[in-house]
Amino acid sequence: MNRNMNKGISTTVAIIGMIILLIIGSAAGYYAGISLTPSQQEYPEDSAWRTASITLSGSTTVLPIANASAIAFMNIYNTTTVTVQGGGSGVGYSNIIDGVVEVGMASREPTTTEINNAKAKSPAVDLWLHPIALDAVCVVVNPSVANSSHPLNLTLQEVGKIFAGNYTYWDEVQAGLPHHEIVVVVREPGSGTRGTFEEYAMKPWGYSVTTGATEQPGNPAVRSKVESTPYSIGYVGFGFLTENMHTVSLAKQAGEPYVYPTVTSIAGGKYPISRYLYLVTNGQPQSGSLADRFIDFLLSNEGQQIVEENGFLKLPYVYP
Amino acid sequence: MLRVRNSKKMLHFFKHFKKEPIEALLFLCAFFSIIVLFLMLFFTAKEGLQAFFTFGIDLIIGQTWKPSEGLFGAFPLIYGSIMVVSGALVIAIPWGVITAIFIAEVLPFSIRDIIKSIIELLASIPSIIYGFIGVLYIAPQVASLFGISFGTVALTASLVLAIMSVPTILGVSGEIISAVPKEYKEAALALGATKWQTIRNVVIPIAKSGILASIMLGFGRAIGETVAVLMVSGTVARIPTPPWNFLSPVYPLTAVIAMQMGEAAVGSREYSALFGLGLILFILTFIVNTLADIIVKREPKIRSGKK
Repeated sequence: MNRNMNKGISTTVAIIGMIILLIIGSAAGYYAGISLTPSQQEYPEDSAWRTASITLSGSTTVLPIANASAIAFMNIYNTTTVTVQGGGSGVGYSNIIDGVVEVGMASREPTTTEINNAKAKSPAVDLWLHPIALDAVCVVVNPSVANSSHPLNLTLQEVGKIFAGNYTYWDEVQAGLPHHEIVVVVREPGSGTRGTFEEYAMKPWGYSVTTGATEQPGNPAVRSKVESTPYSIGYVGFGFLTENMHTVSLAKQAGEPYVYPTVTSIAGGKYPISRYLYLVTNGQPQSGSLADRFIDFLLSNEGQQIVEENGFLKLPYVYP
Repeated sequence: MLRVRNSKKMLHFFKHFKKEPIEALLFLCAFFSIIVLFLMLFFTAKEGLQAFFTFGIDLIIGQTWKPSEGLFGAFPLIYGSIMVVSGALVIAIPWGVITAIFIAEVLPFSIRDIIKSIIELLASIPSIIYGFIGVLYIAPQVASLFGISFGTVALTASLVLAIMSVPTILGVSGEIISAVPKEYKEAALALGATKWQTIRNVVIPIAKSGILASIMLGFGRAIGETVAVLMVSGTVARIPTPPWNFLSPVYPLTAVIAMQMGEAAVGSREYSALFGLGLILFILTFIVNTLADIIVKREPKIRSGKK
């Protein structure tokens, strides 16, 4: 009897506790929602896109740009909703093909399979790529391998050999490097960053990534792996470089100058591994639709400013 | 004839539901879960079998997993899964079973429930938290202890999985051990056996199959775990050299699927190969869970001597 009463009381307590948690949770959500969209309506113009909502998904490289511009965009047009999700370039393309999102994000061109999948849909999906920024894939090593006073210079083919597993120890690559095993860090297959990297540093010589490489999901994961693992080498987008890793200077081939990735060297086409970042839509976005406005915003001075703030490069034809 | 009888039965069935709407609701819920199970099995099999038609037996015995080269040999991945899980069980079985015996037989009755529910709280911690702890605390410890350059290796994954499967093993075998009839233990004690002799010669033999079932459920828990394993296993698709080297990174099945599914174009070879891996995993856990179920069901017969 007594036991039952106890049980009854504890159930009641549990239910009340959950209700309280729910209330606090929804209250917090309410305030979070408010702080994200302060009221600031500049152009009181009545059209459908102002109350519309779009979703972006895809490349983790483009993600920080899209996130920052979505917030900036919603700050100006506070009745719109722009939702941004990651997933990788593959997800970006497949979501556009399936019509799940309005805008995809990609850091590579579509593969043949993806183009065929798009054509096979009825009605056929027409993949439109909108370049929004310029990026470089930078090869990075843990500071235990090289640092600013002892910088590391490699040719693309040497980089390719390292990632193909042709070298086991660092001192096989270059004399003076430590006699320690190389830890190769790569992205998952299908990643745009990986695609671009392999296009420039591996495919020209028919190399393929060693099975001894550790795969990491996304640029931040590669970065933290390289930062925390002695004798490791990996590659990240230009916007993900930090002081805690050493960035390798690359040369197209032996005899050519080694180029350190900087805004000038990438925009000037000197740095050997560069690529465009894209937003992807199904066909040309309807003029006056929210997707159209959002892409225009990213191509505006303000949008390109955001691109730069996130560590990427403005489009060359916008670049002064 | 049969049709008529059946339809009458069905009619009766629905009339009954009309009278008891809440029962209809319960029926629907139960029915729905069965439908979901079958749908999942159906879709996994549909996509996964495609992989077996495409790659044949190579999907299981092939030595190289390189989707970008079109090589889909999942043996290193299957090996990675089994290696990590066996490592976990080697740690978790003694840990879980001994704790279960301790709680059920040695601990005073008054604090038994408290201790048990505290340990079972381990089961309610989200697996991503185990992943965090594994990456941030266990992996660096493993690395510095064994002098290797990074700690996300099979051993770390095994340790994390062991912690995760202990509550399962403990919970099930604890139930079984406390269900051993008191009369048996009292008889043993009355014959002059010590507490330890009673546990070893009476309690453990009776609870043996239950303990075995709990181990299988622990196996099922460990082999299906994804997020924590993805974070701590090191994600290298290669069989360690030598194969029993627990200080090398591995790439278990679940981690591969989680990592690569997002980027695989629907309908591509990679996509169907990943579903093939899913099917292998499904079959593995299904077999183990069914075995555990059969063993648990057999258990009451052993105790049927009790009046």
